[in-house]
Amino acid sequence: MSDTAAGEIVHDPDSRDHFEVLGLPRRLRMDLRQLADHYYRLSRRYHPDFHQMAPPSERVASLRRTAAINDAYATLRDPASRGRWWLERQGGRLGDNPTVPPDLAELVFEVQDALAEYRENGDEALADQVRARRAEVQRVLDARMAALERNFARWDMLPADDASPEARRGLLAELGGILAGISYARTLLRDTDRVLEKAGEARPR
Amino acid sequence: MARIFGIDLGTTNSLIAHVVDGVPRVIADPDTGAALLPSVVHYGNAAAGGAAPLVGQAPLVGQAARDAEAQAAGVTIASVKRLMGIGMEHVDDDDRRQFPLVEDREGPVRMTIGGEIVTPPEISALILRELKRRAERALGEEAVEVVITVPAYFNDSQRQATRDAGRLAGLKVHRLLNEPTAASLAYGLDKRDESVIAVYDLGGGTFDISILHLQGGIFEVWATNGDTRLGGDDFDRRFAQWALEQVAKDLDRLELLDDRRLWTLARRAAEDAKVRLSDATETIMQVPIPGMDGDWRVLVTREEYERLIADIAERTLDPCRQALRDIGIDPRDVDEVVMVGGSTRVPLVRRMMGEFFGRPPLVDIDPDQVVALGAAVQADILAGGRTDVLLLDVVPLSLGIETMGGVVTRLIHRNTKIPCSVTETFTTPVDDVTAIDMHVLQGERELVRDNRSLARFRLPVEPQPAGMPRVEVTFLIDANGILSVTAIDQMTGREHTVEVKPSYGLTDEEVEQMLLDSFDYAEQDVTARLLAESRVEADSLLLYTGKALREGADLVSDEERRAIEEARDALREVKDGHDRQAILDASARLDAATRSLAERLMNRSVRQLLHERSIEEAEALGERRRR
Repeated sequence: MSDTAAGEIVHDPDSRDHFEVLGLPRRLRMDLRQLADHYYRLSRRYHPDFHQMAPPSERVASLRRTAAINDAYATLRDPASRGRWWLERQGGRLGDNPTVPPDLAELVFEVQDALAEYRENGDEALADQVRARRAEVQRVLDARMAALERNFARWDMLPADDASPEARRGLLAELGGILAGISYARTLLRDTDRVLEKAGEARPR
Repeated sequence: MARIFGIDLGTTNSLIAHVVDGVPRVIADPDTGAALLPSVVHYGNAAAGGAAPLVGQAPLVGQAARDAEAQAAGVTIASVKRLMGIGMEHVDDDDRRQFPLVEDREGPVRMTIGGEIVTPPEISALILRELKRRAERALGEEAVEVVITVPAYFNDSQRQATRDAGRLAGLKVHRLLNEPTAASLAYGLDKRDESVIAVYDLGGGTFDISILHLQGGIFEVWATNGDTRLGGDDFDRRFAQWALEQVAKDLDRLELLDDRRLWTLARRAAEDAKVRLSDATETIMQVPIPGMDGDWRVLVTREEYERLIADIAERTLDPCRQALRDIGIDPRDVDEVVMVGGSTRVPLVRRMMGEFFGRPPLVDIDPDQVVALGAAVQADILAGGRTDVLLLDVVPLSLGIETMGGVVTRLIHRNTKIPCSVTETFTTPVDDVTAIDMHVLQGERELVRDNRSLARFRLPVEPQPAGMPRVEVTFLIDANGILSVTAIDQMTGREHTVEVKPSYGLTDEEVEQMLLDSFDYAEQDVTARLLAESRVEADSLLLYTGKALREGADLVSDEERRAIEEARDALREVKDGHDRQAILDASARLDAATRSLAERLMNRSVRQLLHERSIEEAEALGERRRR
């Protein structure tokens, strides 16, 4: 048979070690400012712009290395994507449709109600309600991000040689839960902001 | 040090610039002193459709072409940038009115001029060639190496078309540079304080908005958005249409609305009136009408003009909003708004942007020259002329592949920093398939039909039960924002060369054939030049190999060393011969053989660097602790 077919993707776990690529110590907690400065330094060293006149092999090496550096920086720079990457490296998996964390569930319903009402009736008072809900979601997100930092700190305190698989499993489970909450909160914020933006436009200048 | 020029290949005007004593300067026409070269090409021939095809004569390029546009005879092509890298499915009625298009239903855009087929990259190549000549006349030396700017929102096909145009013009295109990024470079060269800037670039045919973060010589693009079918030309078309409708009504001559030449004249009149209305609050627009003595005239106030174009100008707001949304910042978080492109002189546009960002936009930089100047600076960086400044750009559109059900699976998200690469492993969904077809698309939508087709390629596999074959495909977007694909069959370990067939462009073979066919390439023997180029590359590769084997003596196994030496000897054998293909093949083989050694050498030197850095940091940390 010679017919062809659109290929299917076999999911490959991310095998890139971003710490190694960026030459960073293996610590999950990081100062974003320092990370950025570090990234800029590495870019100055490897970026294709500074290897343009070199022979092909060096140009290719520079290109590949910079792509890896860019990927590592983008992943580590946002604590949530950093956490997701770490989770998958540790053998965990974030489900495609995680169940809504119980403490968020009620807030999710309230926000969606407020949005639906606003879409239907669209008056200023309802917009204010949506804004109030948004502020609540932001608080939940901030709390989750703080919890993420604490989780990172606990990972960093684990001894280098794999001490307790119990501790590891516990941290993984906690990490997964926090990440699910962050993902929900961010989606809610995005949806709310979209609606509010339209509200802002509709307002007479 | 090589001399590399910066070129702004604009919809309306083009420029060439370079850095002299650390300062970027536009190269003016040595005869007329003009800095701008109108992006207009005119094929003149007394007998259109006569014995000698129009393309048999050297066409006029630039101001002369623009002046000839009003003539009845000949064919004038202006704003060809609109047609670069798109398909016949994407042209509209205005394009059909303006360009002599071959009426295909689909596929890359082609034009028919004097009985010959001409593609947009060929027209752009004529403009580039004219800029090349300008620089050579002004400086008395060859101009071959260039950086060419493109709209940030140009997709892969549009970028490839631009690169093809460069090759057809006999240029070595080192880099395609995004226009707003180029402008930010010219604007921010002397600034070292940290700031966030927005570059609003409204050119003749394209619109870009880029948000950048400047810090200590690093120009980092955070987000970019735009519309490649939106620009000052749209203002002119709207105005011209309105004027023609007035004329047709006044004179009771509806047939005027279909007059192609009148349409061209009306657009030029509209453009001139627009320019005057940027300074004056009212002006007279006049259009010469066939069959009428004198011109038709109408008084237009700035207010009326703004009402006419307001909705077009407002179309620029959504991309601005989206870019800010993508990075989660507010318009007021932007420290400076830089206006680029002639159309930003329109007072309505400036007011609108001032309101949107909550601050008056910067208007003291020459909006016509700033992109070319930035391109010259980038050219200087690439040539090794300076290392204190670095541009970090992004891909403007998400990239994905078609998967089952007519859906696009996104592999690379918009605003990802370039270069970037993604590797995915593919298999077959049914038994005994001999190849996997891949369709690559660009865009933000979910369905294949709502995104822009970029290219297709095919991965051969051994017939196996479904799910058995494993092909690892790496999608790499380089610093030009252009995609290349490599594939490794995991069963055989063989690396495929993936030939990517562009959906709306020319293949490498087609470009080479055009180069060989090009009648007025009498300046150089093309074949000899291509051969010489391949020898130069081979020499540089051989030099590098020697150096790598010396420096990395401790990093290679005997087996690897032998393989490298074999490939090196094979190249040495063919290098001085006349078989260019043999040289290219042997070069590719040597390159592949040394690739992994090159990586190891690079790793070693960076480990050194980081080791030194970490000592520095540890010392600094120790310092801080002691205080």
